[in-house]
Amino acid sequence: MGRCAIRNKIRELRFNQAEMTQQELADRIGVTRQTVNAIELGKYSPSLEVAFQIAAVFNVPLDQVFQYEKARK
Amino acid sequence: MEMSFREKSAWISLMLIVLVFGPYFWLVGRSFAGQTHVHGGTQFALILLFVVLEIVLHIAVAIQSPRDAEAPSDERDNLIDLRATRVAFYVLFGGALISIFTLHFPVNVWTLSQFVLFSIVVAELVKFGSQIVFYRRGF
Repeated sequence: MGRCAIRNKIRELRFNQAEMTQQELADRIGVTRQTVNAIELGKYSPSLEVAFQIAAVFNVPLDQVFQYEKARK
Repeated sequence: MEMSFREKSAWISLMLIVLVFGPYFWLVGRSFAGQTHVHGGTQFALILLFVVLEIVLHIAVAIQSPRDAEAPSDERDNLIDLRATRVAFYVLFGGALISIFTLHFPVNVWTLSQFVLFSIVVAELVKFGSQIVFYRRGF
């Protein structure tokens, strides 16, 4: 159950955004650094509000940040 | 993964419950067997000790990482708290039913209060344990 089917490119986007730190991103979207880390590792799926905020920080559409993967049988 | 202040807080509470109430219920168990007697003041003193240790340890952790401690809880913290509270509710519910069931046996008020206190302590243990699992494993 730990890993969710939603993948993300936050780490890559942070790197491309002048190597933004997790703390900087966390401060901009109003969550803790540990939550940003949990999202990056796929341990937590954020709310739609936070997902849109993350996309807005990187100035990209939501589907460039998060991708849904169908479960493999 | 580095722990957030709230995860550290859950660890502190979990450890304190085990360290403070573990020996207490061991004594209560022995008193049921007639091997010892637990004074009424022991319960009060332990709850006081638990509260004092909670405050002291939380202050110590907050001094170590003041930024984390001052940060308000975010949506993940709130969701973890809700999920853990739900799990603990079922434990408390079961404990309450067992406590009521003991009334079918010749138990006194003190014994009944120990069953109720044990239910509360176990529910809290499950709550903090669940929080730690959700923080570590994700959901």
